[in-house]
Amino acid sequence: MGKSTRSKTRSILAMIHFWIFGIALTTFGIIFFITPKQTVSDYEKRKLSPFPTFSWNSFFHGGYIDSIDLYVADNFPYRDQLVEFSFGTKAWRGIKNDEIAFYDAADIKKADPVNVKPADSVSDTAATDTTAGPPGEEVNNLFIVEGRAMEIFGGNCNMAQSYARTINKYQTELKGKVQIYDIAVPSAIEYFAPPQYAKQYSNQKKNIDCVYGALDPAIKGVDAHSSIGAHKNENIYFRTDHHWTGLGAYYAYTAYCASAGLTPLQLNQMEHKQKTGYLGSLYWLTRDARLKETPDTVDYWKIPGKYKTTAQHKGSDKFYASSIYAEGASGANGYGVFLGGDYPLVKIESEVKNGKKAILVKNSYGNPFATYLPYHYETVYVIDYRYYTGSIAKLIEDEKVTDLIFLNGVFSINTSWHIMMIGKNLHGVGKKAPVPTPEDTTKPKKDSIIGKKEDSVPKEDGPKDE
Amino acid sequence: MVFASLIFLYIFLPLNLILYYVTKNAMYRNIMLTVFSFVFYAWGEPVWILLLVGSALIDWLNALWVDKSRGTKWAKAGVWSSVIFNIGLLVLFKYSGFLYENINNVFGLALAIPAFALPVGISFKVFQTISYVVDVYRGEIRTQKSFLKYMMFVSLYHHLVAGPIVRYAHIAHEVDNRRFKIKDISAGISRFCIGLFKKVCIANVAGEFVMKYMDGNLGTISSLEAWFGVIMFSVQIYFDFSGYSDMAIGLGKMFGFHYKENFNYPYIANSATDFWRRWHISLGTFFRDYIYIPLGGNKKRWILNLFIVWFLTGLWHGASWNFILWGLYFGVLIFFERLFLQKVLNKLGRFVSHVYLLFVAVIGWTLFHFTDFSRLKQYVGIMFGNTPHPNWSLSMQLVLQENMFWIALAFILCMPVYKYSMRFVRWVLRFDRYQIIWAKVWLMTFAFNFGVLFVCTALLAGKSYNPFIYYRF
Repeated sequence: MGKSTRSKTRSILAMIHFWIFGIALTTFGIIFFITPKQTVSDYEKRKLSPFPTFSWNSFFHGGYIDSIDLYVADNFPYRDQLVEFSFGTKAWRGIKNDEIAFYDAADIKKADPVNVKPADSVSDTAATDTTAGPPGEEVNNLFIVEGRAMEIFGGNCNMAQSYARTINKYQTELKGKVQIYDIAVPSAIEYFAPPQYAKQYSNQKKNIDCVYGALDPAIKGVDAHSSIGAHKNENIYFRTDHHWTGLGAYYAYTAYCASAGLTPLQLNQMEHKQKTGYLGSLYWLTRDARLKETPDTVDYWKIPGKYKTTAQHKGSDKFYASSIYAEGASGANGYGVFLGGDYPLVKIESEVKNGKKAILVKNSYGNPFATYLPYHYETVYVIDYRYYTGSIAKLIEDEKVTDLIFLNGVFSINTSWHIMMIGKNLHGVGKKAPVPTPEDTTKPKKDSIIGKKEDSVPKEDGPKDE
Repeated sequence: MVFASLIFLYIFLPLNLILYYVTKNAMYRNIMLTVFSFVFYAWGEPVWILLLVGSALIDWLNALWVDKSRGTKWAKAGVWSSVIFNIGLLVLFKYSGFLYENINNVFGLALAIPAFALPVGISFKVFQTISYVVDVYRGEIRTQKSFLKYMMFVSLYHHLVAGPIVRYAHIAHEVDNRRFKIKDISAGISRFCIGLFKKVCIANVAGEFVMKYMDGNLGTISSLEAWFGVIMFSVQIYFDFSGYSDMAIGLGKMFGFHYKENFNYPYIANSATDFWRRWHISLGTFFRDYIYIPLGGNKKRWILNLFIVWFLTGLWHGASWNFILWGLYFGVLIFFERLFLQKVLNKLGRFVSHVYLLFVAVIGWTLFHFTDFSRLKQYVGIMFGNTPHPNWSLSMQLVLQENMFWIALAFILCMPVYKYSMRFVRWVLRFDRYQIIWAKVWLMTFAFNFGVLFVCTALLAGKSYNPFIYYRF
């Protein structure tokens, strides 16, 4: 073959290279512009960044342009599939241990979605959706052992006692008006972590004993720990989600009934329903293939009787029609079947006439538990202390409430933000929940070490949905 | 804007290529490149465009002045005017906060510290333009008469933001007449993909570990984790920077420019002196040609010259004492190497000297990483055993196990594998009468490029994945 033919072939191949490369890039660019955009991501439980509205101020200071970056990244064609693939590539980096995985909270909770700085003006940027929200605490470190994800518990007795003192304040204030119960709920790691890893986390039984030991003797501490633990072989915690199941909550409910002198409903007295194929929060945080192999089932038991359920929505005083079971909840929101999610206040009225009324103070951990209570009360008020702005003392006074139940997972019990919010609910927090000053909302970070562009990035920590 | 982003890859770059190559008119192409460079630059903070254009105009006029008054004392005035103006910009935007802080500390004052934002790429831009005016003065290049062309050279987005420091002298010819060569473009694409791979698949991943160990809670890490952290930082900074240089060189080729190499496998060096011949070459040669040699070089007061250069090298990297310390640290090492250490190393052989270099480089990166001295002290303490945590822990074991292939790849790619395999390919091609091997190599390159593009796209999209436990609708 002569030199000129050789050179010619090479030119042609170079041409092909260039054209295919160019066409590939351009095609994706065009698809990006013509495809319809989603507004929310169910998997990530957040709004996707919309296209920003223009303002000169935001333009000159870079906020507008940063929002465009966020918009492109959030709305890129085939984003879900690409994300899925990118998680898959992690398996190529080395050899996964079949038995155990360890996820550092910092690794799974990225503070830095696309390396942009927060916009200066809040109103016209997309970034706000991902940055706003009261700082509570972050996702905890995770273990994945034998297909089950578990948050690693690191609570201590001091914090647990501080939680107990907060509940005691209610007792001091409401003495003689209501009977107070406290239910401290363990998390999955307490029952399912193999003993050889026991050094990696704190014992929850001890922590709960710290709570109960510090409670005012008039408050009844409910022993959910042993009641749930007696059924370790049943499906009491989700494997892919940080919550317990309807069944786990049921055993806590039987413990509560024992403590409150009620006769619990038997499981066979209720209508059992199921939703299969549920992948929960811990899967979506880690996208770990071992979790995906064995999705969860959401089981719920419908109590007999007729109930009228209304709920206050966030930022509103009005009551809207609601229901104990949101049977339409599906996909990544499977846990939403219980009470339909988190509302500041849900009011459930039954046909029972026994003069008993209860308030359940909870976060999302309490939702499945709440579904069993209405059977025993004329009215049950379910208060999510993270969003409720009213005064519990006043509600008790006005509605002649007889029982006040606090239900919290051990993680909330050991987190000051949650303790503080529960404390504030006694007399109400006013129109707007106070946002504690985050320790460090912005942290300089660089995309490129050499880029010399100091980007401060938003750090998202919100109240954790326990 | 950054190269390793979806918006650059799928919107900016294809648009730029299409609009650039749509006609053959040289003037039009220059305008296109300048406009796109402005957009690229504006993507950070649009307001700095004014600074960029303004300062380019001043430098351009200065160079014309130097040229016009050649042979008179006024020529030198033009050079000084440009140097003072550029260094002034740098001091104002980059170092004023640092200066005020130190003045306050030394004199116990409380002067308000000016809070200028740092215009992107100013450190690179300043050196590029100084070299241009000085080279005009030295008569090494002809002045660029067209402001458009000069503006294009200064603002070229390939190298403006993060180098390499491209000297006008090296691309003067291409500023005036670039030739369209399809093989260049094809090679440019391949080079760009290599850079993208280095940045996204190696540097970004290493960055996750750096975040975890060096920027995390130092109270919880062990010695081994501290070493792992700083080794990952060494990996990150090399692949980040050299990946960026690769992408810049690749982009240059796509548009007909040939920039000089900026890295030559620095981690295979066997002395600090050797390391700096291989690391950020465009910076080292800048300091050599425009500071060290004019000061007298090796002939006059070389020790003083050496330390001035290394002080400035450190300072150039950032307005903080740790960077200065890092620069002087290398100054001291190179000083001792020149006195006697190099001879000792030569005697000890390649292996020992290589281990020596890796050790001092890694320690150097520790200095480089921490702007906070108390954290630096704590971290170095942990590296040398001042921590209650045992080296071997479950999480360390899992990190190493789950990333072992990646770690091996990162280490291997620090070595000149690519260079030698290309040499091998060229040797084989001599026997390739019917282009069969060549076609295979071409196919492999092609597959690699698209594989990289796809994986990097997914990884970049993955960065936007930001799940919440708590609903944020």
